[in-house]
Amino acid sequence: MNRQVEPAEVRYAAELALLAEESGPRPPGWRLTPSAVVTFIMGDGGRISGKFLGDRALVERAVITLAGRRGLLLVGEPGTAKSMLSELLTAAISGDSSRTVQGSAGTHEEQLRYGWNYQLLLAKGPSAEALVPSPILSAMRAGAVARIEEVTRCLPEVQDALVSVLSERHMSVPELGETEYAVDGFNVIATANLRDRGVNEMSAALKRRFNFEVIEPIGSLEAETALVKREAMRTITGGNAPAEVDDAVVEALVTVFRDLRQGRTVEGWPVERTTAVLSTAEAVAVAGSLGLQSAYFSVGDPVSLLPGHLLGVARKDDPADQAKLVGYWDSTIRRRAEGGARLWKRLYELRHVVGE
Amino acid sequence: MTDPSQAVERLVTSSAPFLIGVRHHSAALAVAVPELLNAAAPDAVLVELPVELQEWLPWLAHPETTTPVALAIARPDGARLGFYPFADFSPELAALRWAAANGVPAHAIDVTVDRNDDSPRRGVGDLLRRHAGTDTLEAAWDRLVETPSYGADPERVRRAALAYGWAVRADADPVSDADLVRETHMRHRLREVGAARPAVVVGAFHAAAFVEPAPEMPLPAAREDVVTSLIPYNFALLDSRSGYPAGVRDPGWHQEVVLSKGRPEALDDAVALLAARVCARLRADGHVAGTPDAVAVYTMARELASLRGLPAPGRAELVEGLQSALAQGEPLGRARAVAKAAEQVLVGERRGRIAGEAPRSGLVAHVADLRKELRLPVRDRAFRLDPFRSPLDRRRHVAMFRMRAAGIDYAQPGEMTGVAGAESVTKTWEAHWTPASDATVELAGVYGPDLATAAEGRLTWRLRRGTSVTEILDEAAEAGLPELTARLIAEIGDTFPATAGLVELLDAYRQVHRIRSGGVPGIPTPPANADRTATRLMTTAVSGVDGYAGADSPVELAALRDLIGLADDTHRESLVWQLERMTDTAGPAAQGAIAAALVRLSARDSDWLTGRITGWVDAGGPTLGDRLRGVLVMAGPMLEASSESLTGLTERIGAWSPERFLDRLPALRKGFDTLSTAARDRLLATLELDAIPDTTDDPADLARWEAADRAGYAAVAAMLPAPAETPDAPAAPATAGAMSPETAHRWRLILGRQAEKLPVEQRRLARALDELYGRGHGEGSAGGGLEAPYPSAREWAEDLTELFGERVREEVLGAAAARGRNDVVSELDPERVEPSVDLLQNVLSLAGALPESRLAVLRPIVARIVDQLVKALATRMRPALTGLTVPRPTFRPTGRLDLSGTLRRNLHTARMRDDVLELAVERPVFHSRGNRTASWHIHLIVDVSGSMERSVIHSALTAAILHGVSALSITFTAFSTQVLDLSDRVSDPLSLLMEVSIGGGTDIGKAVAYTRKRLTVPSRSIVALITDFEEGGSTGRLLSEIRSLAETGAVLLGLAALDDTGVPVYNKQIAAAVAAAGMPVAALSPSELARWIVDQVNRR
Repeated sequence: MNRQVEPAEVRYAAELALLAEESGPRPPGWRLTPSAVVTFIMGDGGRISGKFLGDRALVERAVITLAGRRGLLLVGEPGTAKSMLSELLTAAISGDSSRTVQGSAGTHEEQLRYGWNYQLLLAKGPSAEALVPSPILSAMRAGAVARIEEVTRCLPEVQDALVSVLSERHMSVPELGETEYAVDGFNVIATANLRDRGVNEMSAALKRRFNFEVIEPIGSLEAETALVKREAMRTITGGNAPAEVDDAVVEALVTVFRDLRQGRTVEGWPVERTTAVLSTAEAVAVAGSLGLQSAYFSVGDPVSLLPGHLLGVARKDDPADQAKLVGYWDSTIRRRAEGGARLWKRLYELRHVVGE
Repeated sequence: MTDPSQAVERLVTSSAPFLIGVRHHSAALAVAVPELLNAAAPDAVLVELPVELQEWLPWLAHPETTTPVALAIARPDGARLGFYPFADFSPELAALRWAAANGVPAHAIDVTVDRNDDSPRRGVGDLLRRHAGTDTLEAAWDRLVETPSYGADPERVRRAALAYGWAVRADADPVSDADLVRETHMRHRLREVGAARPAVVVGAFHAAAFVEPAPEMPLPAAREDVVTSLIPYNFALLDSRSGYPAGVRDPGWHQEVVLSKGRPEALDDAVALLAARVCARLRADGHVAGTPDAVAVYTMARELASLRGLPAPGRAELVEGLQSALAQGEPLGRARAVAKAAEQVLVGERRGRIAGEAPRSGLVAHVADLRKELRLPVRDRAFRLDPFRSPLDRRRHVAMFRMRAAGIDYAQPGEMTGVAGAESVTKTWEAHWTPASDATVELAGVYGPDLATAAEGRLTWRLRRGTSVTEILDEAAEAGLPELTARLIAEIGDTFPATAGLVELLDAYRQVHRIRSGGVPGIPTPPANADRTATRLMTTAVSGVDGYAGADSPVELAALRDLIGLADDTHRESLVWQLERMTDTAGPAAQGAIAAALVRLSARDSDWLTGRITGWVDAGGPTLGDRLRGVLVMAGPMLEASSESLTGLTERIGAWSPERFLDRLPALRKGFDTLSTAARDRLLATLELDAIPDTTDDPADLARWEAADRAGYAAVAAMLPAPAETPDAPAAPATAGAMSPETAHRWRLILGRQAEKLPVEQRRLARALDELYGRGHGEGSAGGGLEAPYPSAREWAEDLTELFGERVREEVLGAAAARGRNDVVSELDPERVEPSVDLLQNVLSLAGALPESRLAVLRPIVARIVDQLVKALATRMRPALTGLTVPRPTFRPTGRLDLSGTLRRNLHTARMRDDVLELAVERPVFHSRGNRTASWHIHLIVDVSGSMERSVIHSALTAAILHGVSALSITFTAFSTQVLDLSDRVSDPLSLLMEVSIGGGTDIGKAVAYTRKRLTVPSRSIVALITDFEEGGSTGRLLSEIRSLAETGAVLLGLAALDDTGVPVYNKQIAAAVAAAGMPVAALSPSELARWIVDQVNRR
């Protein structure tokens, strides 16, 4: 059985082995030098592939933060590769990206500190073997980097369990009368979404224990198109379908996404922004579905599928977004069609799909 | 294409000339230049400055000249040709200083070329982008040259700079004509100087032109008519974000680099110092930023530098450190505060000074010449100018205003501008040239080398800093700056109709009208757009008049009066139409004013007004005083001139029974108190009371009059078929032209004048009311003796009860309390007071003026009222806010084990083993969490200017109740023209209310800006702005503040009035504009506000 997704340290094992050979001082507990970590993520144009299409300075700051005494908090809109970056960083620094807590409204303190094997606890009382360490605690013991995904989805009082861990670097277990101390190399990467619904505010005390890095959507159209195509191909070939994603369609898709995300078209015309977050990740998903659909159902004209998918994405969050999409069709796509581009002309002919 | 490394090598190895390619502000090069020149030992130093500036080079390099300074070249008419600021981090200045110190001649070799403004700017091309990976030249320079140079060998710095310049040139291909002309000129000059080993310090871009073959261009004719000057400058203007030319980002940072001589260790310390300063600044602004944060910034900057292989952190690393460690990922919240603090620290406050013996130039010289030419006095207390008749005086007038506009401390206009058209032609000035004047001329020099540019520069700067457009317009017009004036008029025409309130509109109209009618000496030919703008302003003012239906304060009423006075014929019709619609629906004071306005506009005749007034007077009631006030504000002067409209009123007053009269007297007195003392005297004169024989106390006279009255009444009654009405007074209905003495007395009482002519018993009435109103205000109120005041408030209160009865006593004492009579408060009984917002308002208006001892008496009263009001409000608000928080058992593992529940649930698995009871837990039971707590920040921004008392009370109570809800944090900001943060007092509404003193103007923008700076988590913040939207500050700034607040994503609400009752008074235009800028405006009562907050909190 194939795994759907391999963790980063497995997927890039060869690259990591190569970089581990680089000499130079390493922060205690680190497998690679800081500059090797940056190279691992940004690529060197040769044997190490570029994995993150963002600002190099940002990655450098992230690496520096992890070597210090503050946690790293990656914030940004959904689908800006925050989680991917945190996975790559942990894989490169600790060689293990599995110590992860998934934050949600149901996350409780035990998942950040420690829990108990209740049966054992009731039967024998508190003991070391009844204690179930959280990923954070096991990272502290191992001197590794732990990840907390979507930390702002945890309730504020649950988040605050992190405060003492990050500032004191130890965790007391009063039931056992013991204190667990973090081994060198321990740190925390959290990702957070500040714009999404249903997120909680972080307390000021916790904020002060983190360095913040804001991850912006990808800057250039070409880079984003290339990324969407590459990632979409990966999902498709993972499904073993002999699929192909049409270049022109992907470019049109990414252009529409970017226009609606930025509230301004490539040409500089104003557009009404949608409430739904049109992230790169979302574009990858749409491109993937387009590819799969044309692979299994032999669609003659992949462009004709685009409006339907766009509508599906836009309608996810707010029904009013459909009106914005129609508005986009009537203004931007129409102007482009009048400009004579064949693809946009075809899209304008498909206006009826998105609504009256 | 030439091979880059060879090309750069040719530049580096060139010895005649020896090339130093620079960027105009570069600390690294400024540090390296002296050493480079020491090594090269040139016999002449040539710099890229226009030849016209040659004479200034020694003064620029003078040891007593303190940077920053700037060289300027301008045409005689003031148009700027070139502007070259210098600081310690300017490599050219370092070269000139080296030349001066080593006795090597220095030469300026450039030429000024008229640049076409829209010629494309040089940018980052492909070559540079590949190497630097950034999109701006400044960042590319930082990355490629500046930061790697700290502590580096000067020769390497030179090479890096030349390589950078070569790359920019390669990207810029082809080089523009203007550049080619300048380069040709520089080569010519180099040959003319004829030095054996010349060193050329030029922009790195131009270096290649001295080595590579370059086209020869025809040279422009030499300029002879230019004015050059060396002026002191400052870092605030040198910062490139100030909008002034040839600046650099964060001059304070570059200064630190020069001070540390580029040594990495010293620079390291500088970064630590700057990080600490930014944190300190943040703390001063009320944000949390302690030493650990400064340490985090410093560590980040240092480690980044080492990761990037830099010898020391540069500006980019410092800024990245600040951003990462302090901004907390809130680009619109905290990050803005960090950016502001960083800007203040990194820009710095350094000011330059010119060496003492340097020839005076620029503004200093210009002003000295001008003073001589215009024969401006050194000292004259009353310097009289007649600008409309004497051309010299016109020039003087303009020069004086220009000096004022430029901030030069010299003359004050002695006589203030009057209302439109009523201005005197001559103007008196009080002028005195002091040492402060000299100092301020120096300061003004940064804005330009002559008065007109300096005045314009400073006005534009102030405009950008938020001074209102009308204020600037006034100064710009007086200072004779036609272009700026036309621009401002255009701006007013574009923005005011949508944003300004009536007061502001009329103010702007008056100014524009004055300019267009040639009333400003500085602007003899009015700008073309003045007529159109004036018309638009008036149209807007007229169409927005219905927003004043609730006008009540003197300012609002006066604005209405001014509108009627200023409206021209074209707008009369629509104004009348608007007012007619409001005659019966407006608030009491506004109704009065509107009725009188319609007469002034000749839309109604005075009989109609008389009818209305008598109707109101007959009806009496609490609104009577306000209605009269409105009438008198609008029509005071008209009534003074003719008593016609008052005839009807006289009839009514004469016809009342003494009781009815007494009942209405306080209200009538209040209404007429609107008029100044002298005006009331004139009114009395118009009424011709003196023609009526004075009353005496002689009983015989009284009896005679009584008899005459009755006879007269009988005669009238006999003439009528049936009695029209039963007279309820001894006074007979007045016949035309005659007034009974009784009626005359009543008038005296109403107007509060000539008390000495009153009969004894009525003097008591006058005295009781005089106690409240005193001698009045305005013209004629000064001096003169009153009747002896009451010895104590108690006696007064007793007299009031006796003379007027309980109800009037309450009314008069309440009014006295509102007017700041402290002593009457002790007459109020805490046990018996009926809690009402009105009373609270009256009592609170005293709070500011009372000493602590009296406050002690007041406290129980206020406490009782506040308590009761809070209770009433809270019952309505709390349930919606809190909800249930009872923990319940659940199987979901929440982390809080319900031990007893688990035991009960799993008892069936209990087994005894080795004398120990063992339980095999199958299903553990947990406590569920209570209600989810969502933390929200609620910011109440409350206007405490004059008209807002009731709203302030309501918002303070609301704040106190919201404070009790654990999930909400409340900040309470009160503002008038000052902003006062009272958040620490919201828990105690009593002390909050005691703290707020109501009154003063309105600067909403300032308060909004204050709150915006304090927004830490915009997405979970609610900002409620409670105001009448009568912005006294700049509306443009208010709107941009609202817009930036809306951009942060906070939930906004503007509240027009927070009152349970009453007609809301608010400025419709501004409210509409505020709504358009992203803050919805509504009029909500306190309970509705609470409901709205709950809705917002629950929605997310």
